[in-house]
Amino acid sequence: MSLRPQLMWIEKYRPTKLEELINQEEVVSGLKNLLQNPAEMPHMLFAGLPGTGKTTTALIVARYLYGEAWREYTLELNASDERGINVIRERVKMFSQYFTPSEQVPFKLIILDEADMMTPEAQTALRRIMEINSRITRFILICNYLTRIISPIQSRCAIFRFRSIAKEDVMEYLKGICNNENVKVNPEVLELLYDYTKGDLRRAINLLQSAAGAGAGVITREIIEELVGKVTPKVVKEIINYMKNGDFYNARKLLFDFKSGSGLDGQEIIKLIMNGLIENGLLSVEASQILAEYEYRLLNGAYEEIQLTAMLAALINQISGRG
Amino acid sequence: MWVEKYRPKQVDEVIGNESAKLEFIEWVKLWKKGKTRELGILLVGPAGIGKTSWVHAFANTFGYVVIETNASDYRSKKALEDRLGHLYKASTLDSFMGKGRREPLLFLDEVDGIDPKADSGAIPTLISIIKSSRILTVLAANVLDQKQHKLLIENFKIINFNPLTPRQIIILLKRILYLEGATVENQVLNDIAVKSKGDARAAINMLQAVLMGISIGSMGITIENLPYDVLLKRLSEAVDKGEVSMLIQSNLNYLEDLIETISDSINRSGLDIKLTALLLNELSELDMMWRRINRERKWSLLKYFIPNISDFIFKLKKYISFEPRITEYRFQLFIRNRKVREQREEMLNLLSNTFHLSKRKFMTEVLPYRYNELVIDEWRDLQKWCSRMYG
Repeated sequence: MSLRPQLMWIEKYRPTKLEELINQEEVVSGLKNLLQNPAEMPHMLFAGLPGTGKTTTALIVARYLYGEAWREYTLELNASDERGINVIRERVKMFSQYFTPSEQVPFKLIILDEADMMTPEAQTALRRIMEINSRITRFILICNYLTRIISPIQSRCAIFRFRSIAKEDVMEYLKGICNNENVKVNPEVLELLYDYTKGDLRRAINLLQSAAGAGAGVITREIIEELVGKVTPKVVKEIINYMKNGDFYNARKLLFDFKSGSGLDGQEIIKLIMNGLIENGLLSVEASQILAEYEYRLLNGAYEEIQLTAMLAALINQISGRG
Repeated sequence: MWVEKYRPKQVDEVIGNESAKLEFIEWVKLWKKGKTRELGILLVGPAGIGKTSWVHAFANTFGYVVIETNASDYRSKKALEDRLGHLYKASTLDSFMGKGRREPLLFLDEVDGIDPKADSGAIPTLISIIKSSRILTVLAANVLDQKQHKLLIENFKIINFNPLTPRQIIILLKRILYLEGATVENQVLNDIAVKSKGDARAAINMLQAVLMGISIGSMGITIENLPYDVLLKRLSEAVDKGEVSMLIQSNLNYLEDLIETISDSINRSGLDIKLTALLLNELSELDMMWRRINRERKWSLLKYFIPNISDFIFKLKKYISFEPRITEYRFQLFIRNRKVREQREEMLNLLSNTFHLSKRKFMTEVLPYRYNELVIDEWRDLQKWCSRMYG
C-alpha cells in the first residue's frame, strides 16, 4: 500500500519528545516528575480541547517507557470507533493476556482516546476493567471535557489539563513547518490561519498543508479563505440547496448517499447540516429546535433513517415557511 | 366441516373464474398433444378462492388422480427429492394407473413458500423432477415475486385466479343453505359476502358459524401470520381503526417492516412538504416509542403503542397507499455504495494505526480536504464517491 505517513504533516511534525511540546509547561514538568520512576506510574487522564497535544503526549510517554519498541507494548483504542464496552474489554484482555511484568517492562500501556464519548454506564464498566488489569497495565485516558468523565475514574487517575495553544506559539510552529517545506507565507496569513482554527494545532496544520497544496508553495490570504469556505464539504452545500428549493426527494437521496458512503453516524450528519445552515444564514431558533429535537430522538436509540428523513422534511418545511 | 363437505366434485360446480378455468382446460389439451412450451401450470391467487378445489374438481371430471404435496412442507432440495424423487421413474407409474386407468396429476400448493435464497436448489430440483417425470403438474401460489420466482415464471403457464365477487359468494352460500335445508336472513348473507372479501373458504366457515348461533359481528377471517403483502393489502382495505389494530396485533413480527414500509411510502408519495413533515414527525415519534419498547423488552407497553400506530396507519390511508418490497433508497444505496464502504473500511484500518485519529475524525477532518492525495488509485469507487461528495 502506498500510504506514506509522511504525506500528512500532522504526522511528520508530531513531536516525539516532551521538550518539543509547545505551551504545555505544567503538563511537561508534571510528567517529568511522574516518569522519574516509571514502575510507579499511575493511570493518567489527559483533558483538553482538540489539537492541544493530548494524543501526542500519550505517544511520547509510550516512547519514553519502551523506546523504539513502543508499539509492541502499547494498545491504542478509540472509544468512538470501538463498538461498545465489551469490544474494549475483549481487546484489553487479548492485549494483556500472557504478559509477564519485568523490571524493564513493568506494565503494558493502553491509550484510550475520546474516552468522554463513552456513556456513564460504559465508563463504570471501564473502571472495573482498569482495576482488574491494573497489575499489568496502565491506562492513559484522553478526553475533551473532564466533566464528562465519571468521578470514580477521575479519582483513580493523575489528571493533566492541556491548555489551548497561544497564538504566537501556533504561528511560530506553522512558520517552522513552512520553512522546512519551502512554503512561502507571510505573518498576516499565519495569523488568519490561527483565527480560523483557534488554537487547534491539528486543524491548523491540516489547513496549512491543504493551502500549500492548493497554492503550489505560496500561501495567500485568498487561498486560506477559499479553503475555509470549504469547511462544509460540497455535499452539504448541495443538500442545503435542495432544501432551499423545497426538493425533499433529492435532499434525502443525497443525504443517504453521503451517509452510507462515509459511514458517519446520525449525530455527525446533523452537525454537518447545522454547519451548512449556519453558513447559509438559515439557522433560526426554530431550525435549531428541530435539529435538537431529532438529535435527542437519535440519542434515544431511534432509527436513524426515519429520524434523519423526518428532520429533513421538518427543516424544509420550516425554511419554506419563512420565504 | 362444510368446507370439505361442499368442496366441488365436478368442474361445473366450481364458482367463478370462468376464463381462468377455460384457459386451464385448453392448456391441458395442448399439453397432452405435446404442444406446450411450459412444463406445467402455475395458479396464482389469494387463499380460499378455489385453486385447490378447482384442481380436484378438474381431476375428478377428467379422470386424473391427484398426488398432492404442500410445497411449504418440503422446502429444501433434499426433502423434495425424498418426497417426489420416485416420480423420476416415469415408466413405473402403473401403480397409479392401476386404479381404473386414471393418470396422475401432481399438485404442489404454496410454492411461494419456497425461499429461493434459503433453499437455492429447491426450485431447480422441482423443475428437473417435473421435466423427467412427464406428469401433468399444477403448482399454486398466493403471491409471485418477479425476481424471486423468475424460474417458475419462465417455466410455467401462469393462470391467475381472482377473489370471488360478493354475488358469487352469495350464490355459493345459497346453494349450501338449500342443500342443508337451512335459511338465514339476506342481510347476514350480504354481511358474510362483504366480510369474506372474496374468500370462499372463509365465507363457508362463517355461514356454518352463523348457523351455530355465533354472531357475524364477532367473526373475522384469519388474520394471523399473514404474508407481508397480504397484511399490507388488508391494512389498506381495513374499514376502521379497530380492524387495523387487530391486524397489527396479530402480525407483530412485521412491526419493524411496517414502520419501514410506511416511511418509504410517505417519502415516495409526493405529498406537499408541510404534510410530509407532519406525517414524518408522527412516524418518528412512533419509531422512537417502538425502539424503546423493543430495546428495553417492555412488551407490556405495546398496548399503548398499537392503538397509536393503528390510528396513524388508518389516517395515512387517506393520503397514500402502501407498497411492499420497494425499499427504494435503502436498498439501492446499499448496493450502490457497497464497494465504497469496503474501500473506506480498508483505508480507515490502514490509516487509523498510522495517524492516531479516530475514524470519525478522519472522515470529518481529513478526508474531505485531502482525499486527492490519500485515496490511492486502487480504491476507484471511493475516489469517485469522494469527488462527488467533496468536489
